[in-house]
Amino acid sequence: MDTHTFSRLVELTSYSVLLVAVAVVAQRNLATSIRLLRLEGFLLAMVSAVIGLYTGESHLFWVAAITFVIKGLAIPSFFFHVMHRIGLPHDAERSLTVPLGLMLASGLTLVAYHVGRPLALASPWITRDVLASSLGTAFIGLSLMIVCRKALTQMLGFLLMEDGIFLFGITETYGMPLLVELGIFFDLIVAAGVTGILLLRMGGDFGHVDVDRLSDLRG
Amino acid sequence: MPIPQPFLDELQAVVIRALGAGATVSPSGPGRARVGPAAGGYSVLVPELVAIGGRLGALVATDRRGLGEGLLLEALILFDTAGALVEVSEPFPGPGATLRSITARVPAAHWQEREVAEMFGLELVLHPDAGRRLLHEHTPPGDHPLLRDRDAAQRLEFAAASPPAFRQVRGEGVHEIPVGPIHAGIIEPGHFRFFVLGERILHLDIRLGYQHKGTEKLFEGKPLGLGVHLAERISGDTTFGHALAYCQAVESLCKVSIPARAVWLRALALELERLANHVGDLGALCGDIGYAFGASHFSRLRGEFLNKSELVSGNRYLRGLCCLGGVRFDLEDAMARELERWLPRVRVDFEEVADIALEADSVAARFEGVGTLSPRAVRDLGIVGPAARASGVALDVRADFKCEPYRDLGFSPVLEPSGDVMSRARVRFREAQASLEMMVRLLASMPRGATRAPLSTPAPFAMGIGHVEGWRGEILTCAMAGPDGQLWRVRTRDPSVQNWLGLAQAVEMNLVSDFPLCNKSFNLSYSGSDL
Amino acid sequence: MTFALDIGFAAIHLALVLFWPLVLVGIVRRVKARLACRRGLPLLQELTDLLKLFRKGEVIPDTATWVFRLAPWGTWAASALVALMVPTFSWSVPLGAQADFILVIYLLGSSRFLRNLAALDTATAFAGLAASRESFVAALSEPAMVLSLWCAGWVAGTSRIPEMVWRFSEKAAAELSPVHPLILVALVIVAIAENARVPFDDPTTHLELTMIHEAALLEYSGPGLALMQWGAGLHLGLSLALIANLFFPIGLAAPAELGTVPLGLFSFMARTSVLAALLGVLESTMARLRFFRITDWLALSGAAAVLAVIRLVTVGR
Repeated sequence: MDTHTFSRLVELTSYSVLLVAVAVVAQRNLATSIRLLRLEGFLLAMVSAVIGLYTGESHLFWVAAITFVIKGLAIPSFFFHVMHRIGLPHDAERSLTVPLGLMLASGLTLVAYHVGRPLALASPWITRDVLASSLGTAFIGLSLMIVCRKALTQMLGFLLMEDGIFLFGITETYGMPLLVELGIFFDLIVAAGVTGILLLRMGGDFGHVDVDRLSDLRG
Repeated sequence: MPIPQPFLDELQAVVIRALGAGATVSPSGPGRARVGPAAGGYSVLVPELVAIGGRLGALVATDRRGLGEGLLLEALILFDTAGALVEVSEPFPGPGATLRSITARVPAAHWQEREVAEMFGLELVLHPDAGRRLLHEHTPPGDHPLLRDRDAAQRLEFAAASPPAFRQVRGEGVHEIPVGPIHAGIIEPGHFRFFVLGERILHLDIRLGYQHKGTEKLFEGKPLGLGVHLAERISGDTTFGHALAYCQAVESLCKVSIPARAVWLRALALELERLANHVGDLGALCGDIGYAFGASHFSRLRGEFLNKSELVSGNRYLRGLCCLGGVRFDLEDAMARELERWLPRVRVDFEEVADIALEADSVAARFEGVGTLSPRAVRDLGIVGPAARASGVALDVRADFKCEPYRDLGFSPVLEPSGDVMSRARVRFREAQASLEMMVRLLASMPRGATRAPLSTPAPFAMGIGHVEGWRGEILTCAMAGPDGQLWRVRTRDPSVQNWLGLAQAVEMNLVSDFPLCNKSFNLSYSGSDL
Repeated sequence: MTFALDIGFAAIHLALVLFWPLVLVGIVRRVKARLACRRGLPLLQELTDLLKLFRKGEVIPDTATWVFRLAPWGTWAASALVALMVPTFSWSVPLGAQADFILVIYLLGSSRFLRNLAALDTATAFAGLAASRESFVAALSEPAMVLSLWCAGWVAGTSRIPEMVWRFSEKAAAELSPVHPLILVALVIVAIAENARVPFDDPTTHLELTMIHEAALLEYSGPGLALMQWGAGLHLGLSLALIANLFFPIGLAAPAELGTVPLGLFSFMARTSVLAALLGVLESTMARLRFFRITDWLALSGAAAVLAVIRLVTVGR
């Protein structure tokens, strides 16, 4: 694979990752959001594999495979399972309307470009233009965590943020040591698992998953 | 089923409080009690009965001037938890007398009171909206079709009249959209007047009566048997429900007991009709939101149910199956086997389609939270049928009035809590499932024997009542015979008469573009309420 | 000889833009029918319908003025003019020199403006409602369309649509800009909304109260209706042609090279048919959106276009 094709391919995928993150913001439907998250996982696996092909580092294929299984398959199915178990409503409550959320997302991407520009210029890699879109994805995830009221949608925001950071990491380093990657994956599984179990308990004990109402005293 | 004694005592206390010491409650049949005609028997007693949990069923007025009396207005009050039906009545000297409206206290009486006043020339007072309902403004003022001295053959004159007055909603930006009575699709005529603010409906006025055919007048003087055919044509999609309610009314008049096999077969046909319509409605709901998958597969399934209706009765809409004293055709064993083989198959098919359609995200986004009807509105307006059950109000004649054969087969009504379009869709889905289950049990427990009992002469001027849970809701039919053994007066209250007002309530503050969807989720009959 | 070739190319283009959309409409309907286990109408049903309508008489409401009579011709002419600027089987088009994307968007806008004016002219409640709704959708979709075509133009280094197609087609797929997925999503959403298809509108509904586009045509009959429907068909055709040629420019015929024409024709028909079939699949599997949810989708298309602009402004091509 020649350098030009490689950088364009990685950049193309990274913009798709950003686009999917924006689509999650535009989506009030929980199930569709989880499906978009799954798509995000597939795209990230693809990026890892492409970088692996270009650099010839075999452990990146392992990363791609693990990303595919964990982010693309395991976590979304787990969320679907949780959703059905506690019978969540289809609509995800947000404190912002969709157009406002999208404006916020666009604004954050603009910030990401301006923050990322000096970094990108200093970067030795040819995929440096991906930096801004990966930062943008992370920012959008962070904003989702803030504006969402339900635990499950907050978790969605967290995962998006993690996706952005993963994209940042893999395109800026062309692969961290496998051990580091494994550690991150383990972290992710624990986070998703803890949220899922928390959700199940909340749904079972209180009949809702609204974190704002957790601060209400029960007596 | 006899009425429990404690309930009768409570009833007696209320009646004495409302009408004075002379009034008494007397049992008048299985599950029925009556309070004799008394001044205030309608305008004073009915609100009191509703206050202790009664539900206004039907208003039945009769012109008894030929019998040396005046007009008599009877009200059927249903106590669903006690499974009792109470008849109360109030006499009027004749046309032109004043009828004191109870709509302000019992909104469920809204449409039927106006109908009675128009048809019998009573002067309705204290009604919040006394505009014409069935006989529009161009009917000559003195023409009251249901008075007995008016010839049925005489056509309604067409008098020039001012256009109808609608309620006015004023304010900046309020916009009025008139729809109908002629619509774009092949549907019945009705006029809807929307007052909207932008896309939001502030108020909806529904004006029907464009299909008034004089059905009740047509019943008068007909032989009992011929009435079945007329009843079948009251509302085309409820052919069997209306025929059954009419037959029950006449049978209770003649005190005939129906052979068990006929009762079972009637229930089978009633469930088949419910299935075809519920499944068709689900398809129509999908069609309204442009969801092609649901629309096409549910209509395909509706076809299956219509075909099986044809197998059972020779007619896709079950015409001609119900007859006085039982059913006209027996279910041959070969047919029963075929149904038994077909039921599990179609159930799997139906559930598969419904699972995909009702779980689709884009469908849920349209159905949920739209056209919500509160349980309070259901009780106040006397909403019946799936529309009531979708708001969490347990009303189902099959369960409440312990009728055969449902009593023996362990039937319990399907309830959904939220009262929106999704609830009404889900009630239809689950009722269709329950009907499939019922059909299996009915076939398995089908008794042997005759399918028809001979009829005896009906008692003159007594009232027979038919009470059926049709697919759209509770159908009440009252029949009276004259001394010549022919029909003297028949009154049918289609569930639509009650539910139209529920639709007007449910769409308030919804988007105009969601109205067709809300309308379809009720799917009311124009013909049945216009009679 | 070159002149004759040019005329020939223009003639093929004209036939293609005027009549191929009718087949595309047929393909969408056929796919929907097949997915609903029906056999469906013949592919050329739309053409037959138009011919029938042209032969029929016309009923014009008493309240209507000349605006009502003018609108069908005006909307059809505006769509047809745009159709002469959007490439089909080749990047050469009759009005190539004038085919600036701003002009294209304004021509489409004036076509919609005339239609809304005619709807208001009849003074019926439904048509007024339709005009208000259509303006609502247009106000949200137009910015996204302007921005995404601007991005495409920036990447290609030209503001003329045929030239954009030419630039994209000459280069290899790897040369596609990374903002292409963003523009593609934005343009697809806008195209679905502006052509009044599911999930924004339902072209098959008979419920006046839910209509967006169709309610404006309720008062039309005969030739007027035919022109309006044909105009809508042209709009669908050129939207699909634009998407097919901007994003999947495969096998385009080169001007003045007769030998490349058959491949160009085949490729154009195949690509637009596939898009039409995809539209049919989308329409079969999705229900319409609630009216105010339309903003969410159009805002997504706007956001995608804005992201593309941000990328192009800060990083460049």
